[in-house]
Amino acid sequence: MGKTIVRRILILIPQIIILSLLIFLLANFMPGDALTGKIDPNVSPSRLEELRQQWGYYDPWYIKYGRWVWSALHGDLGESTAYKLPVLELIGQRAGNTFWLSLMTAVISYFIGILLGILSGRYQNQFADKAIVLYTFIALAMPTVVFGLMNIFLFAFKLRWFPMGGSVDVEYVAGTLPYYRDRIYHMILPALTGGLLYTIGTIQFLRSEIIDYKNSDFVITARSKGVPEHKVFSRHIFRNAVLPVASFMGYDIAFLLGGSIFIEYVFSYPGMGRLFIESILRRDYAVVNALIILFAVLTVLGTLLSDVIMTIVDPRIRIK
Amino acid sequence: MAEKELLRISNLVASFSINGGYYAAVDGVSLQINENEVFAIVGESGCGKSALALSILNLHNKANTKIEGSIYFKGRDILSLGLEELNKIRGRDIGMIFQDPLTALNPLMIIGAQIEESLFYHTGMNIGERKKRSLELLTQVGIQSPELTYHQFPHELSGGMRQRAMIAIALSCKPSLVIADEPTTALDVTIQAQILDLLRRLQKEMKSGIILITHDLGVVAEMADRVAVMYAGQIVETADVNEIFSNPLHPYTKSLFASMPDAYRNARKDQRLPVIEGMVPSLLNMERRGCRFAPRIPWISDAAHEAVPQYHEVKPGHLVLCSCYKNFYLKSIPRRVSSSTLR
Repeated sequence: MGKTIVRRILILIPQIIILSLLIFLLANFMPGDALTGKIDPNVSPSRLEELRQQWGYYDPWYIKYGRWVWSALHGDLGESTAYKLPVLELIGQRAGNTFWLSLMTAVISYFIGILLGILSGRYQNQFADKAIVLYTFIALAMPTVVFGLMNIFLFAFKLRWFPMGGSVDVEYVAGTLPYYRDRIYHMILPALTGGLLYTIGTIQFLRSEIIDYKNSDFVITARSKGVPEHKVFSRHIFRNAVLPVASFMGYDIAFLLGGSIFIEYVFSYPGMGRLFIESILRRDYAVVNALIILFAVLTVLGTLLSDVIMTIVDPRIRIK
Repeated sequence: MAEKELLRISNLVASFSINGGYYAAVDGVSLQINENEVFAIVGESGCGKSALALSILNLHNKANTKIEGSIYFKGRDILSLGLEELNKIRGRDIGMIFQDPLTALNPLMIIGAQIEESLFYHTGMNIGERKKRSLELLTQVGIQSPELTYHQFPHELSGGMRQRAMIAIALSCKPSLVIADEPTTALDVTIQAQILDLLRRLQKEMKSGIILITHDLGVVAEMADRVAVMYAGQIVETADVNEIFSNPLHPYTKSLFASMPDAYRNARKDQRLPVIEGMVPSLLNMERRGCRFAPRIPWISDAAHEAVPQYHEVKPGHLVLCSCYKNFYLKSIPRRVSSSTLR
């Protein structure tokens, strides 16, 4: 198993190199440069030209790429024009928020998904199943923004159970217990919103897998051995049915860690997703580039995680 | 008969729900199996053999199956039992061997765990005893290194070894009846012979009854004591194995034997292999009146069939359904058959 994972990690290296190259080239071919908007309009065009020469604007792309990789490896991804902060520092501030929010979202999503998936698959075509299927269709059709706004309106504005947005109230001192409690309090509504929507994939997968396995050959074998039905379910049906859900877990986690753009935006939650959309709107390209690379790396790592999970849960995938 | 009765099935009807209606795949089957007897059920694909096998332990999907009639196992009506009672019989008194050992074994469980499962529910054995018994069973079914196989997953074994493991599972609690649903169909020919040898050897050792479901007449000749021939959900002929091979009567039985390569020892080489015309009717468009085999022997006049086919006991223990056997002759090789059956 270790060998499979090592090989999988080695494949990661060319993947990330190609990714970074593509992203760099796309950014490189975008019109305009840092001098177009940032500079004092009174500076003469000849001086600008001189600066461009000096900063290597006319260098071939591979030299620029090499320079960019070099500084990126040294932790320098440029500076945000909007926040006047190094990009890395800016992302670092937001990453923690997104991490905790996505963790909570993932927990809620899997909890609901596995519970409802089992119910729905086990009691196929009965009332509970029909209700759950209806829910998945509604959730599938529901735009995140609309659902988020509905929840804010109902639970934050009308009922006042939860705050309208943000990550923590200003009155609390960082590091104290009430501070953390308030942060969790702020996360509940956005995490529920995300969890209730993202869970449908898990529900539907689990439901159809359970239905498929319910009368499969090895399940009939188990019944022919006299295994009680609830054990047939937990030991034979569920363990097989949960495999695809487990295999998607890596992708899901990567997706969530990228920060849900819409949820963070609607709830004014200061995470990476919101930073991303704001940076695009402000043409803050250094931040956008860094975030795209981060998302890309997360996705690649997510597939790695999925593969690792698969080798752990499915004995057929183990390579000796 | 001197043998003690083990299983008696009376007028069993197993119907599946298709598009709202119920269609009988097993339609009025009655049979009786004695202790220490190998009872073969033969027939083409789709004639209801497997449906019958699954009905015995009530293993059909309950949502779309209806089972009527009665199945007495050692004097108890299995069909009237609740699931909990039935689970005490499943695996302990009646073991099942399935056709495809790859899909019939749980891909995520090691072989040992799958054997031990029935031991766990039916015997009071502790972990150590269960493992000992599993290894013993694996040795018994001819697995070379039981300790290794015990820890292997189904996908790590060859087809033959998987079927051996399957047999070990079915026999783990020394059941008095084993239902083997086409146990050799998914295997290579050489492995088939080994598995059959194994089954026969174990049957002799354990003195259990076997219901052997197959479409392979060679397997029947080799293994069975008594044979039932099934067609379109009904048993059309029952007899001892010697009787059925020496004196097949029902048109379907005759056609089956005739279509077996080299079935008649003096078949000419230039002769084309006889086939049975038409196909087994599907559940949805099966004629449920009169003789069900009649559409496939159109050269036999309608008058030869009974309106409501009855079983005719031509000899003790030899039953034939419908009177059409009296006037039947094989069409493709009429010269040879005419002498024996036209009378």
